[in-house]
Amino acid sequence: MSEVQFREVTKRFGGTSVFERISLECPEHRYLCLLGPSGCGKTTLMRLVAGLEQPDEGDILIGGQRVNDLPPSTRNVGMAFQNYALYPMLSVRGNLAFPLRAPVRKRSYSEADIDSRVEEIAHLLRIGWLLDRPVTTLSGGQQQRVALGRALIRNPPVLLLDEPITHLDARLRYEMRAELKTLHANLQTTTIHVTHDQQEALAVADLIAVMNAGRIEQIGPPVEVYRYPKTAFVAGFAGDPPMSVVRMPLRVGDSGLQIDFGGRALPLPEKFARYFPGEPPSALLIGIRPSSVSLVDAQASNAISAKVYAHEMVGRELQLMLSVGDGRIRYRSPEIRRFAVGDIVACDVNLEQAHLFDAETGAVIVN
Amino acid sequence: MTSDSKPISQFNLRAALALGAACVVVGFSLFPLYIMITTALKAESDIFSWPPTWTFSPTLQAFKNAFLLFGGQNVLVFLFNSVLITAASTALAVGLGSMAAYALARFPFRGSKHLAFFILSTRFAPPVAFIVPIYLMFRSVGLIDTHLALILFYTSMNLSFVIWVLRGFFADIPIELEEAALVDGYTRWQVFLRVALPLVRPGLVATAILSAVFAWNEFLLANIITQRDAATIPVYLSGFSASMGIAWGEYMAVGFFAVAPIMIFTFFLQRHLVRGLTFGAVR
Repeated sequence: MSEVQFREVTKRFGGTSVFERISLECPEHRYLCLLGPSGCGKTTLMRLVAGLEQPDEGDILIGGQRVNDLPPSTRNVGMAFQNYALYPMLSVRGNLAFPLRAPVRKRSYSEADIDSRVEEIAHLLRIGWLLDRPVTTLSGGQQQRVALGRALIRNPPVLLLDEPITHLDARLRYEMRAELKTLHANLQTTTIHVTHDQQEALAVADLIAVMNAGRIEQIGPPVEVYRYPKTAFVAGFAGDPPMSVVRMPLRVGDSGLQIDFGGRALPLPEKFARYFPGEPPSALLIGIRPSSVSLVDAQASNAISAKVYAHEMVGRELQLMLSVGDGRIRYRSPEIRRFAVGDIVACDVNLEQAHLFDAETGAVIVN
Repeated sequence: MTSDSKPISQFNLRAALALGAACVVVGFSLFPLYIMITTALKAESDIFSWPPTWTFSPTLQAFKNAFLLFGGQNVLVFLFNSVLITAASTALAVGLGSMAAYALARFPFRGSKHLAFFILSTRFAPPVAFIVPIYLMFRSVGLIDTHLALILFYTSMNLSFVIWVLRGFFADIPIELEEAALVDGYTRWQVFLRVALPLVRPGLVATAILSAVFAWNEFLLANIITQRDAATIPVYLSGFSASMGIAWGEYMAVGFFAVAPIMIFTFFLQRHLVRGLTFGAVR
């Protein structure tokens, strides 16, 4: 049993609280990504599991056992650090063997055991040919593998990865995602992976917990987080590209509810109307995927006037960031046209596929 | 230093000048040592010849006189005292100092900065300023003319220096290295021994050398609180002229043995010393 649970955990540094009464569970054998912007508390949450930080309130359980009072050395979790934290005075072999030689595991491994285990893990991570090199001579990707190997070598029931592939170059990062996934499929280690990269999280995780400002906004499988964001924050954070979330006034018009979309009144689609049985709110947060935005002729009756805020090529597609009213929406198209910043364009927004969020709380109204 | 790979026509003038300057400095530093050794090896008639004799037939007479005649066997006792006191006080200063430095670097508490400054402040006054109180304290506990007295004094004199240098070294270790070891199954004490200490080895070597040099050369207090049983080699050397007149050959022979151990010690560790002092300086 190696599930990891947080029960109403509060952590403060000095007077400022990182999070208050947070509860979270990573079931056994699952791969959980803690996803959030820097400073949201995700790394602190993971360090609490390792025992490198102590909670101010609440309990942390590993495999059903309360570990609050256990020092890091006896928690038996493996951890790979963001900057790899390899021991510079040791070779690759020495680094990999270091956890096996730890005093808490005294007499658990003979020298022969250690040798064979080092060979095994080095083979798994394809760093066998580097074993006798000093770690200071390795490339970033190689160091990252050694760090991963050191975390995995004693088959810990829980594996913690702190931004494990953030510092790799794009191509290597892409490769390592697949490897992490394969590794997890083979070893089935309960894994908590901290990252701020939503692509990475969507790619490798079984479960994603999206964090913001010390709160868990949503936890669920990647598809669910992507398709059915529970809050406006999640909607604007997860996805590639994430949907645009804009705040627009809501009015009662002649033929029902209307959204004042950058000066043009768009009727709220019929299917959404039932979510506003009483007095409608004065504004809504509207999540719009780039695919729901199209460019139209300026004379068209449904044209919304927008200004080009930024333009770039993403892969083979053109991406525009358009200013509409107070908000910005993304547009993507495989059709390449020239735009300059400040150009006025006409666009149409298909509200049928929009996600609506409460303008006050950010909570989802309808996906 | 790249001049090796260049053709001779491109001989690097700056490197040549630097090399020349280095030779002058080294020669200047080593000349007294040269005089000491040659004087010890000269017959008495050669020592005072003018102009000085640069070529002479070496003799070990002065060494024989110094160590075998007129109570010269005592030299070995003084040498032994010096080695014992230097080794013990250096080991204590670096051992205790590294633990204190680690604690100051890794476990900040309310007022730890003030404590660190207080430790440094113990070196503000010259030792001569508190020699009388030290003497009285040692006398009241019966430590006059004991090894322990000098070991304690040198340890305390070196501690603040060791702590301050090593604190910087420990603070420079990325904290994740130690956290990784904690997660890997090591206790805080084991992390200190197995991870932190190996990483500050240059600092350990540098502080050990400087501590040893201080203890080895210290004369003032040794001369005051030791007479016979625990007196060190500088004390012996100072007494040399008084009892004998100045027998220069013998004096230099003993001087050679007073310099040699610390030179050998430093020579073996100096590679680390150089690396250690620059390691802390250029971050």
